[in-house]
Amino acid sequence: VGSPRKGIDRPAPAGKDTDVLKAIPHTDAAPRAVTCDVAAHARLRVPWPGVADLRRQPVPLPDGGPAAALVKHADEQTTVALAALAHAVRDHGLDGTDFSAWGVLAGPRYPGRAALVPALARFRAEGAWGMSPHLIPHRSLHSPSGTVSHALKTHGPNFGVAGSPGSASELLLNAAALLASGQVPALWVLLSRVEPEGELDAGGNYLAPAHVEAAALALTGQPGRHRLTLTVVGPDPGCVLRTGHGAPPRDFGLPELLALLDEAGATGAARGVLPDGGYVEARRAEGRR
Amino acid sequence: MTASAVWITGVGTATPFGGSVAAFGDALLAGRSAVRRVAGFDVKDHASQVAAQLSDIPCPPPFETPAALRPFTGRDDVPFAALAPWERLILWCCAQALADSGWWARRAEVRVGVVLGVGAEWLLDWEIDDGAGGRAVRRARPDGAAGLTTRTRRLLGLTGPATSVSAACASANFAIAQARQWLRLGWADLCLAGACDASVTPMALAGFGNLRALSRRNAEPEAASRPFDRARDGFVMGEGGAVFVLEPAAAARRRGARAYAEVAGCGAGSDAHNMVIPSPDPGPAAEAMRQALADAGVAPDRIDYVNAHATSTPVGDVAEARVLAAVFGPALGRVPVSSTKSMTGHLLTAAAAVEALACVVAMQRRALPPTINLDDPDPDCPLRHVANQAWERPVRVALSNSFGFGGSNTCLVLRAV
Repeated sequence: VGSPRKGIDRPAPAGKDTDVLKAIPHTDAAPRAVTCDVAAHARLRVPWPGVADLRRQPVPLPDGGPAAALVKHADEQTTVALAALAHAVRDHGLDGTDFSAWGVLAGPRYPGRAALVPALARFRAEGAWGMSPHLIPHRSLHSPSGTVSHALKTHGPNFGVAGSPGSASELLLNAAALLASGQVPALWVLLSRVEPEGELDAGGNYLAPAHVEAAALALTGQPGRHRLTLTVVGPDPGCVLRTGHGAPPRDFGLPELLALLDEAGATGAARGVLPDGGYVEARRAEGRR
Repeated sequence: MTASAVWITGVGTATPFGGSVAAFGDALLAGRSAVRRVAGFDVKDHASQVAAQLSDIPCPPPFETPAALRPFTGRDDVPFAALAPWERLILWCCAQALADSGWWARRAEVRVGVVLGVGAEWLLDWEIDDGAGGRAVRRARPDGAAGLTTRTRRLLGLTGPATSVSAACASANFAIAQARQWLRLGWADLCLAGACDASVTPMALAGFGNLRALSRRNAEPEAASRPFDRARDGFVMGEGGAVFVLEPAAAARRRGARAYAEVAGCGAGSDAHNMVIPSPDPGPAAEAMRQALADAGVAPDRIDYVNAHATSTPVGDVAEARVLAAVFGPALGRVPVSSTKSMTGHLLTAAAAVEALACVVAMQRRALPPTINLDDPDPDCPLRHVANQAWERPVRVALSNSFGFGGSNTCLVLRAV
């Protein structure tokens, strides 16, 4: 067994590394735009106490699912996001669509927070025995996309994105990149949050009225067939100068995305600036569904 | 090499074996186990009491003072040592990767993207806070706190796009695939991509234990993780991580960069079967592997080494063996396979990152890391096992599988440069 290649294990940054850099700027090509169709979209806002009803009686999907058992342990945001997706399918006539090759990306904000409060209390009282085996699979960042993939029987990639404020920006950058890769023909993009993210009581219930909000967008990689298109462009090389060193990002989350879609629906086009540079543009095409 | 090829030009890592690639490689090729009895909290009422835990995470020199960490913590009084383990891990790995690639001092002059696998940062944060008597989980969050990846980008002064991705134990393969795609779209000049995990906490150990996913071989910690062995009884949690600098090959070649490997192929898909249990049908995971092979333009019989996902669970290892059989067909008996989780434990969110690094080590050192504790190979896993001792042989193309809760299947193909 040989020895490691010389130089591989240099110690932590010491500022002696510039000698190997011979070409700055590294890239001067313009960033590529990725345009996709919004084949369907829907939004849903459910009072926190109402999520329990939605869990017991989920909004049916085209094949009759999901069974209540599938969302029995799901996070509140997962439950509402799945319901928003079901509305999008129904409202935009996707009932007969074969979703098997689609991917799913989901960006919940602070998933699992409310469920963790009673789980912590029970763990303190009962020790390891009292820890629910459902918390990790169903209340983590990967959980909403996994549940939706299971419910819709999609075999494309599924993963969670962000988990924090500003999820929409990260979701769009990931969704556009995935569509541009040609790996999937289409994606469900789900965005959710509890609003306001207020104080919780000892049982994990919001002390002030709160709603679970979710949006579901069906994005297809072949633009030009539906009424609404989205174009996503990542940061261009000039952003290094404009953004500066460590500038604080501006959020682009659920409300900003919904406002963008509304404005495009009303005026024909709208553009939103993404916090890390780049932008998203929504355009309405007349004469398409 | 194609025009859109992407190379790994820098690596940062920390594992229980140490804070360097050399220490990691030495341990893997020596067949050493990092699994011990859990330290740091009382495990007497836990079903599983063993894990591969990190003992020390070095502080990158620029962040040795609390003031220097302000962009990350928002305060002037939090030293590196007081950060959560996963925060220290990410900062160490990212800074080390940038330094290793040669970009550290000039990182602000280019768009450095950040794509990190992050699984349960908030749940872990809140659990640790609660354990220390805090009640952060219950407090209102009117302004919202930025996530780990965003704060890391801010601290390092990077100007490319940043995102956290999570597919449980497959997260890092998604991070690498998405970063490669961002580079191809021209959205960044280089990208940090990888994942870190330090989830051996009381609740996580209990949660996986109550799922009956963990080994209960508490009396023999070093023998507890035994993928493909007939006596395996569950996985062992591990801690650590790896972050890579990904760079367009053409640009890296122009600047004379050292290349560890080409990110040649990525594949991903979903079982749509169960949130926790792998599909008994090998089809979906095999499709992810075939995607990665096709993306790399490599036939299955050209693979020199497979780093299997194999976590040491009774169901999962057999399921993966069936997937490998479906993909490799007659070549199955020729392709060497090992699971480095036998030594590192299962690093969950970071597993794919550290296992990609294991493939890089195999290429560099012309040696295959073994599956240790493979004393009695399960006949239902009829593979060409690299059992218990490293094999000396050149590795031109390596393949790494990573599967995760939520039904995620991912595959990464790395090619020597």
